Amino acid sequence: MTKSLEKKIADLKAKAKRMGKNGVKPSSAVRNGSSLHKIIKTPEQAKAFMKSLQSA
Amino acid sequence: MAVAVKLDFDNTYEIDPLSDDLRVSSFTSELQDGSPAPLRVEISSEPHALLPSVFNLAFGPTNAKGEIDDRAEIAHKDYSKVFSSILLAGLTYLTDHPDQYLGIDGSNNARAYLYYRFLQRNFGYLDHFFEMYGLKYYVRISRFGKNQYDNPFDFDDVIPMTDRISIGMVIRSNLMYN
Repeated sequence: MTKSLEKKIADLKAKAKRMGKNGVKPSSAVRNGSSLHKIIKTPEQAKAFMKSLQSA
Repeated sequence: MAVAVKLDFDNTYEIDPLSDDLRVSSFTSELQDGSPAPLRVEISSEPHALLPSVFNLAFGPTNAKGEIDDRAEIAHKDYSKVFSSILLAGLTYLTDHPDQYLGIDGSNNARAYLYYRFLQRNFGYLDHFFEMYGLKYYVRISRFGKNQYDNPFDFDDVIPMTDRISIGMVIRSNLMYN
C-alpha cells in the first residue's frame, strides 16, 4: 500500500470518527445476500415451489 | 456501461463517511450530462444469511425513503472513478475489520458478470489489496425442455465452498458466481 493511499484511508477513518454516534445506520432494506435465497428458505417454501413447478 | 474500467485508489471522488464505523458513506459522481449524482455505499450490519463473516456491500443512488436503489441505471461520466471510490470505501472498512469479508453481488446476472469482468481486468491491481473469492451457494434451475420437471436443478453447478479467483479465470455469464 502506498503512503498516499495509507494517508487517504487514515483521513477517511478520522473523518468517520468525527461523526460520533450520530451517524446513519445501514438501511434494513439493503440485501444481505442473493435475491434468490429469499425465495426458498424453508422446506415449506421449497414444497410450494415444486408444486407450482409441477403444475405449470 | 463501460467495461474498460481502470481501478485506481488515487483516482476517487471525495468520500464522506456517514457513520463512525464506516458502514455508510457517500460521494457525488458526475453524470455524462454534467449533473451531480449523490451515491451511497452501505455495508450491511447483518452478516449474509448463509455466510456468517460476509457482509453485503451495496451502492447506488437513494430513493425517497433513503434506501439504496441498486437497480438504478445511471450514465456516469467516469466509471473508473465511481468504482474506485466504492472499493476505497470498502477497503477502508476492511482495514478496521480484517476478520470480515465484503460480498458484492450484482442485482442481476448481467451486472454480476460485468463486475466480474471489472475484477479480471483489474486483477493485478486489486490483488495487492484484497483476497478475492467467488461462490455459488444456490442451485440454479438451468435445465429446460422435457426433463425440466423431473429434475430441474443443476446440482453440478454448485460449489459449496469459496473459490479463490485467479487472473484470467473465464466463467460464462449465465454460470456466474452468485
